[in-house]
Amino acid sequence: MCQVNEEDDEIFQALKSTINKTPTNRKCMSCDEDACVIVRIADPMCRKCFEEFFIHKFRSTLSKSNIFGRGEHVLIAYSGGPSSTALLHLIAEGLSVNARRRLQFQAHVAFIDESSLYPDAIDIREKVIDRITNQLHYPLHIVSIDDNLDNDNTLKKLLFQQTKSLTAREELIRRRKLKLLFDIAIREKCTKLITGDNCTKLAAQILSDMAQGKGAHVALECNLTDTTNDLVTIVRPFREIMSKEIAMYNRLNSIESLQNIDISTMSGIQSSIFKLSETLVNDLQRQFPSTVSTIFRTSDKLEKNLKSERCDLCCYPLDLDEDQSLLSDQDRIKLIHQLFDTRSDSNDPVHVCYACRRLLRDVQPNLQSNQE
Amino acid sequence: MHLTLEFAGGAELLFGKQKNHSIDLPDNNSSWTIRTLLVWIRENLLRERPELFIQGDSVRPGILVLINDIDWELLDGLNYQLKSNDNILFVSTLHGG
Amino acid sequence: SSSGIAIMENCESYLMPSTICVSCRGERSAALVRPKTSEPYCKICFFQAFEREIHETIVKEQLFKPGETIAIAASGGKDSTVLAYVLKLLNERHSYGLNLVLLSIDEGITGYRDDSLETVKRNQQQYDLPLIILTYKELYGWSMDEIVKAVGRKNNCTFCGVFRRQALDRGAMKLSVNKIATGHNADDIAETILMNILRGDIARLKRCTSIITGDESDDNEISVIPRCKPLKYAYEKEIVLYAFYKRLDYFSTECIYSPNAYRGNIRTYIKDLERLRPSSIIDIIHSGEQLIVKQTTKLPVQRICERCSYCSSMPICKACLLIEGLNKGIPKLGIGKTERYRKEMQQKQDQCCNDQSLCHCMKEKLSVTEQN
Repeated sequence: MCQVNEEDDEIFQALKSTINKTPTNRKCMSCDEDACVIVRIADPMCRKCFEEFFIHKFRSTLSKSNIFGRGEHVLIAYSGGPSSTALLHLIAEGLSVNARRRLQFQAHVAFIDESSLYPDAIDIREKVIDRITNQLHYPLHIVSIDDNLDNDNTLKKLLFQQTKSLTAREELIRRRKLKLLFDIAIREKCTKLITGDNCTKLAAQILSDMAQGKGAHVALECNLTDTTNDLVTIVRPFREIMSKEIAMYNRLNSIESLQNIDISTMSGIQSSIFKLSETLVNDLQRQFPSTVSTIFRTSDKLEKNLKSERCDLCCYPLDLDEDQSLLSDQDRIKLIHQLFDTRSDSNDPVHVCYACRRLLRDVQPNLQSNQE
Repeated sequence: MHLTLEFAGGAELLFGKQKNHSIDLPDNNSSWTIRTLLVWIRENLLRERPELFIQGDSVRPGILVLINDIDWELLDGLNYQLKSNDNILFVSTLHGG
Repeated sequence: SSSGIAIMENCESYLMPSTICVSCRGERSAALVRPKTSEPYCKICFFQAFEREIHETIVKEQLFKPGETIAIAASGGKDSTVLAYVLKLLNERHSYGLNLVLLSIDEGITGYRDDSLETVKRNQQQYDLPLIILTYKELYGWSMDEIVKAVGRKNNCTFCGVFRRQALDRGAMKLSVNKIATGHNADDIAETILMNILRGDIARLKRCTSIITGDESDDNEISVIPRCKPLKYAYEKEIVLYAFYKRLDYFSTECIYSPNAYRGNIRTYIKDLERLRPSSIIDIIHSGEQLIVKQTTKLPVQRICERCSYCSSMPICKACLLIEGLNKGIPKLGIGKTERYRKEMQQKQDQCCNDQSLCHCMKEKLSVTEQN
């Protein structure tokens, strides 16, 4: 069927017209100095104005709704990557004694050590300890991605011998990390969890989620405050900041990220659903500079699903009926108890959402087959 | 012509994990641009998976290019005429390098 | 059909000669791998499964009531040919009690529609169903070829899309049918969901997943004939396979005035997703169905066009605006930002329609009223 909608071309033309606005002007839009970066759709800014713009965006996002209580214990999820490194830098400035409108919470830092998965990342733990404990003096909680798993059942073995797609590997790691972060937060009596998710990544995540049947969670996953967990609220102060802006900010302030590796590094642009989605978003963003912000605006107009029954795998609300979400396969039930529910006894029934059910199809709990 | 190339944010993994490269481009009749530099990089520096760095005649979308710490979009992008001792930085903003 | 052969070879290449059909469990050997499930099927079981799933959709979603007259939007392409064939078959097999008619729109694209209309005429004979053909020329005074001559190839899809939507309704009114059934398949729906997310069209995002629109339950649409999509969960690949093995007579070519590159990006993305995980298409539809639009989001109010009585979010509908632009030699009218034009036109008190000799929408309105 011809799928052309009434506004198809209209929208296309509108998107295209934004491209022609590429500035011939190389002066900063706010102060007339020479510009060094283009932000938003086509706004040139000088270094000073860009940093003000960047910090203002971060601070205004945080202060928008008085998210943090005075003295509240807050856990910062630190991965060593560019986003969370910039985030830590900004929070440290906001907490410092001479900050204007000083942040008033008690910062803790959590680092999930994934070095057992990537042989190249050996000294990352030492670097993190040096930066967080020795330089910033925040309480640091390091937990291995293999935490509570025995030596015969490492995550590495599960991922590389029993999981047959990169998509499923990426998603299992994502869910396991979130679970471990929640556990640390609860253990340390932190009621907020701050992540460095930026809007470029979240835009790709929205498409990737949609493609995996996770549409029910899109609105929550992109929200500034995500109440998926009853005890710990996720806060995303970078949700309106582009990855390009973070890279620029880090460069101008000589902020070095500690880790640039993850499970899908060096795999092709078509190797997983997330990679495909990220590629699409970046391709479109280059052609139509409003792509990321439009995707993001769409998600802001969606209602959050706040059903109280949660998926035992991804922690987000269930989008299936009770009988459809109940797992019956004993091996998979055992696997979920091992990886995602380290506390309760392993006879509880397990409920999973639509997307996690799909995900589990790519995992063979007991088979030793090594595909791909 | 002498240039400093920097690869960061994970892009360095495609260049033998070496972040800084000091290079000398051969003199040719026409002047060097980012476009022709990318061809040179592909032929002389890229160790593996060229498609993760170059797409078409440009860098892969999601890789930010800074020329002497200035956004290349302000400097004609691919058509920027390279000058001696320029510093060209390629930062991957893609998830996990 | 070249695409049918390509898909068939693709599906057969996985099969060992002795692979058995998972459905009849070895009664017959498998002839193809079902694109939707990646399971080996024999032809007979594939036909049955394909038809049963469409039947189940029709029953579960209550698409039809006994005694209704249904117009099948027939283009001569694979989707509408399979739709006509399967509806006819299921109507007899399960005694739906439906009165089926074929409704074709002739956009007037030489070399494209001429051949496909011949196919529809043959389908009329083959399936023994009544056929009505309406031309853009009759309805609007302009054929697509003439429009392209006047406006160039830049915005022609806007004209075609707007006119087609109305043409189907006008045709259906003439035939006094209860519903229009269109051949939109799962791939089309998935594409539209993502398209609407990418361009931030929240009103369409809300509507595009519903399998039936414009009926009593949908208070946002007025005075249009309900439409339904019985092939909503059918994969494009399976439709091609079905048509191929059933030797259905259809016409396969792309529209010579092809849509813009933006949609092409999304189409490629979906094909790439399907290759990684065949369930992706159905997963996107599940995601789309889970999205809830915030109550506070402003959606355009639907009202009736002052000129042609077709539903519109503006005082004058898009089609009437486009026709006026064509007639006045300013084809840009109605494309892009139209707010200013609409206001001007309202003030001028419809010169075009008072003139009567030019405006076709008025004639159409008159003829429809006469019939009533």
